[in-house]
Amino acid sequence: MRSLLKTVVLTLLLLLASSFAVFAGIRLSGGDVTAARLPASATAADRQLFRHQMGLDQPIFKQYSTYMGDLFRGDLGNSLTNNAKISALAVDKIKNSLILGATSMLLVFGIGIPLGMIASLKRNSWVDTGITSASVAGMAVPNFWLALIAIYLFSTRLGWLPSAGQGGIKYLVLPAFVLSAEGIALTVRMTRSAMLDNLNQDFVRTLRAAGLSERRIYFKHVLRNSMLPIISLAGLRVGQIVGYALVVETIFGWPGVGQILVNAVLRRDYPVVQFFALLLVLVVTLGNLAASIGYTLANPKLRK
Amino acid sequence: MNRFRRALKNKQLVIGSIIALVIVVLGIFGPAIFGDYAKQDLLRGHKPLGTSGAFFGTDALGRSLAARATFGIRISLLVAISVTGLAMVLGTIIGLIAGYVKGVIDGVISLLIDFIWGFPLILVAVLAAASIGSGLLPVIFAVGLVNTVAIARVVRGEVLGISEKDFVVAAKAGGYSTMRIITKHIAPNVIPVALVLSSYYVAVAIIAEAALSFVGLGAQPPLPSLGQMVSEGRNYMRLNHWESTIPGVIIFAMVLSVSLIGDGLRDLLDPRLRTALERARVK
Amino acid sequence: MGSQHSPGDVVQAASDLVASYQNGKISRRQFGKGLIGLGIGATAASVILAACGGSDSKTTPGTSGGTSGGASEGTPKVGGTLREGYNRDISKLDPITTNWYDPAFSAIYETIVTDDPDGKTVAQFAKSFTVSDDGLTYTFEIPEGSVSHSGGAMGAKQIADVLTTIKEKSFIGGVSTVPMEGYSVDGNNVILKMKNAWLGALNPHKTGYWGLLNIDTWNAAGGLDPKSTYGTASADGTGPFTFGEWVPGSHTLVNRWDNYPGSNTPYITNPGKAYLDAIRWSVITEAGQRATQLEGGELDTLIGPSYADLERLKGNKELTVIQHPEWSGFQLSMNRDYPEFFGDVETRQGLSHAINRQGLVDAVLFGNGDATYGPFPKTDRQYETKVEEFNQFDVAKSKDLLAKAGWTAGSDGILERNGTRFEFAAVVEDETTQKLIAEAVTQQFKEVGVSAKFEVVDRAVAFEKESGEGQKAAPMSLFFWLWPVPLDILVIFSSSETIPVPNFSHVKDDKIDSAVAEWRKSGTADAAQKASSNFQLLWAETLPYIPLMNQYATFAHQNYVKGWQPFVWLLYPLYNDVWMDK
Repeated sequence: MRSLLKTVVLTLLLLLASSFAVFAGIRLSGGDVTAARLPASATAADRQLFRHQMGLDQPIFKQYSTYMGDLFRGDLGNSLTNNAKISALAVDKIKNSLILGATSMLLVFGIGIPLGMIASLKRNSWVDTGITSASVAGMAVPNFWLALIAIYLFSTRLGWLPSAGQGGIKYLVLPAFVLSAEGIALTVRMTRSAMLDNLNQDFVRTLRAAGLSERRIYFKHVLRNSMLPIISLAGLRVGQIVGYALVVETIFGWPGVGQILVNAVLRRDYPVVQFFALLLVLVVTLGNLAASIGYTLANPKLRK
Repeated sequence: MNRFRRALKNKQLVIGSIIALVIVVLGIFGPAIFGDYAKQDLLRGHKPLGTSGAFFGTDALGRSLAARATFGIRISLLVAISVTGLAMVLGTIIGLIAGYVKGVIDGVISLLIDFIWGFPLILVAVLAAASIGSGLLPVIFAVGLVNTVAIARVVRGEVLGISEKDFVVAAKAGGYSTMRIITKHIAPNVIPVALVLSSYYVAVAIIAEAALSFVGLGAQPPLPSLGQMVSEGRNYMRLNHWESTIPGVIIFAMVLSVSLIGDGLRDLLDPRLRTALERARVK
Repeated sequence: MGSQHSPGDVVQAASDLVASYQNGKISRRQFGKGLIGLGIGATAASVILAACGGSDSKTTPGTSGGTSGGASEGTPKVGGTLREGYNRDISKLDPITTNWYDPAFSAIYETIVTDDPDGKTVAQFAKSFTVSDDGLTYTFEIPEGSVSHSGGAMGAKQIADVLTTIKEKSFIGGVSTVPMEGYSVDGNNVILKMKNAWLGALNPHKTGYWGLLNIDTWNAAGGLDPKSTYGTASADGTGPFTFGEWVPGSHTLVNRWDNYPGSNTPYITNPGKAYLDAIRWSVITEAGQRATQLEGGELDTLIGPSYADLERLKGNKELTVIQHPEWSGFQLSMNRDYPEFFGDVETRQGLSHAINRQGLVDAVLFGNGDATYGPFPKTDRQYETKVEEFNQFDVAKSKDLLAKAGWTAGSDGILERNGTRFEFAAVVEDETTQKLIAEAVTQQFKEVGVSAKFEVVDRAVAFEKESGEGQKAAPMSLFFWLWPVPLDILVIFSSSETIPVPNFSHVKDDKIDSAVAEWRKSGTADAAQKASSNFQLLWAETLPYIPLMNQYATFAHQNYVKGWQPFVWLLYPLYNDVWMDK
């Protein structure tokens, strides 16, 4: 209990530090914030006035404390580009990213685990070789290139699926598959090797000797033992998907957190970058935390 | 000799090494064979694979894709190997210290590790590029930082485990110096894991460099980078897909070869280290 | 690439077209397109069109007619949302403070006058307009009882107010209204008084920056305050569509205004409110995806397909491609605050002769453009062909000029003069076409011993590096201008009044300044042509910028979309007549 509390406090501290790193990083980046907001005509004095009105001319620590103060009062600020309330903007973006992210997670486990099981059942057959090779390839293929190939093949050439945008399931298929490809490959590998490890364990021999059917041993005992570490590490997959979403959402024009973040960085829309980058860090950090807790729980040997 | 024979029997290692060899040869000799990567011929743009005079065809400005891709291999390899080498050395040292010394130092290091670990790589790179400008430097910085942290995490975990083993406890009781215990007893058990692990991080570095160049944060034109070539070529997929297919396949092959070598090396390790590695990989 | 016809073919084909047109076999629009397809520029095409006559060139305000509306192809169907692809990110929908205007402007706003397909000025919001004989007074008759989307009055007083605000508060207003005295009200009329007669007076009024908005709504939303929500959360004009949604990086949505009284523009055939329920513009910055989405039926219309996809789109029977020269150009600035590089004219000329412009047009634009040797696109009404005597691609001449300027090759082939290497930083925005041009130009400079080190940066940084004072601006930048009245914009790019923005080259040249003054005083067609020619020739010779090329504006639509008719004189189509036959 004490260690859990400690973990939570540390995580909060980490997030605070991250928020400052993001805050300072984007402001150090140069680029003229007024270019996005003021007409080309604006004089140096106009631009200075704008920075002053937006509080951008104050020392960075002052800006940061103002920002955090507002944040704790529930005010996420407004976009510099269109003055929209970020809280209003966020709902939609988060919803879209959640749809894409959750679908990808579903694919990672829904496809990865069964394939890994099949490979382990048919060990050393051509099925196993095929699945294993595909998973090695799946881990090696860069997702941005996979996205281009997928668009070229399924939208441009075959015309089966839309290449970009949002609206209905068919828009979800390509980005979700591209986003989950590496996770699927990794899950296949992990499932296969965990299943094989467990099949060699003493308890399997004991169960066999006790006369349990192979099917029962496999699906009930071996599978359960193998799944624990894989599921408990789901948090890591979350982190991976969040990172890739920046590129994949942009390529597929998926209006989620990744896309708005990339656009906001390009426009130097500080408040928007600030909030969404922090959101990503929060999700990744929580994912990592969940994974390390889950892994410890699943591996009694590590609990010390 | 025995080990070498075992290595030869390891299919993954052999296939991975062959692919790697081809790529390295292309990277070293390609630019000399295929000529100047910057030379343009505006009347001969978008030529497909196999065009005479341009082995892999040409890009939008009629530049040789072969010359550009092979030069891109060079950049990619230089970045990936140097970054990972540095990350391995730094990560191992940091991990050893944190894991063995424990206490406040470990606390601080672990906190820092968790802090950095919370940032998606691409976000680190975006912030780095934003503060020091686009180019290879922010890529090296971001990938180096994240890989160092990744290796340090694993090494620290291993050291924590090993330092409670009997032979270390005995050495401590025997009054050996900390330095000696680390170098004689702990490091030999940890370094092979770090080495094999590094081969995976070379793969991570290659993909990261390509991805960042793809989004325009990496190598700056006219310096050709594979990710940037894929990105430029995507506008001409229907016209001449080779412009992005060729660099794409090369990135894929590079990552594949390094992963295969990693898998092969892992199988050559003794079983105890192998499980340590498996655990490290998923963590 | 470009025109593949021999001159004889063109003459024959053109006279066939003329015959078909005069016999009524083809529409005026098809005729114009046919001419342009033959490689006859739009200027020449419009000259031929004018020579052939035609009912719509003689229309008077208040009557509707003409074939270019396209709504005559069957009975218009009401309803549906037009899904339009757009190749740029969207700008705020506020004419006064925006950096750029998007197609949504021509749905939400009307301008007081506009162009017809022949390039003739016709009424839009105004019922009619007249010019006094001395060219000093313009009178616009404002329709009685007009209101904006919000229901606010848009009478002569309000219109005069908003025009005055644009003239005084908007940057574009400031630089393009120098010869104008001001606006006043006379009963139902708005009067524009000139300081001197000037033929350019109406041109800015046709652009989106002169979109007539409800000034009360604008003020209430915040006016010039950067925190104003006008144009991002609301917009209040008199156009056939009202503000719906505005999401940068994603889309703009407008909805039909049911109280729209109908257009005063003669070539609009729709007598009342718009046929479409709504229009949604999607921002598609991935070049390759634009065509794919149109082909996949995800879009009805598309502005700016990638040239790489054009041949394929033209071959698609479901689609129609429309193309004409665009009022735009790619240019290189040369910051004069780096006199060691760009201070002398020989050096600038040397650099310019190193550029293979036609090669760039062929390779980067797939032939869909023209090399430019002076400031203007070839199709400008006042284009001076003699500029083509300057700046032709000639490596030997380039080297000669650079040698004459005192540059000698150093050990590594890079030129040197007085201990300065000819090596400088340059900046280009992270955009496909511009990046490619920058790479090509880098190599062409290298051939003559000049090292331009282009840095690719995002838009905000590019602007920062272009717009600085003195040496804060990059020595060189590659940029793209787009503006329906080329002379207006090119004048302010090189006038000493507008250093450092947008005079990125920081040019202070008495001759250019006096050419500009001369042009602003030109009250007759002859005087305007003379002043304009003088400006162009001076520009082509002394090179405040290095001109590169001009691209063709390209549009594509599904054949079921009717009445969507972009033409050369306006940046975007009008949406009054658009309907979908499906």
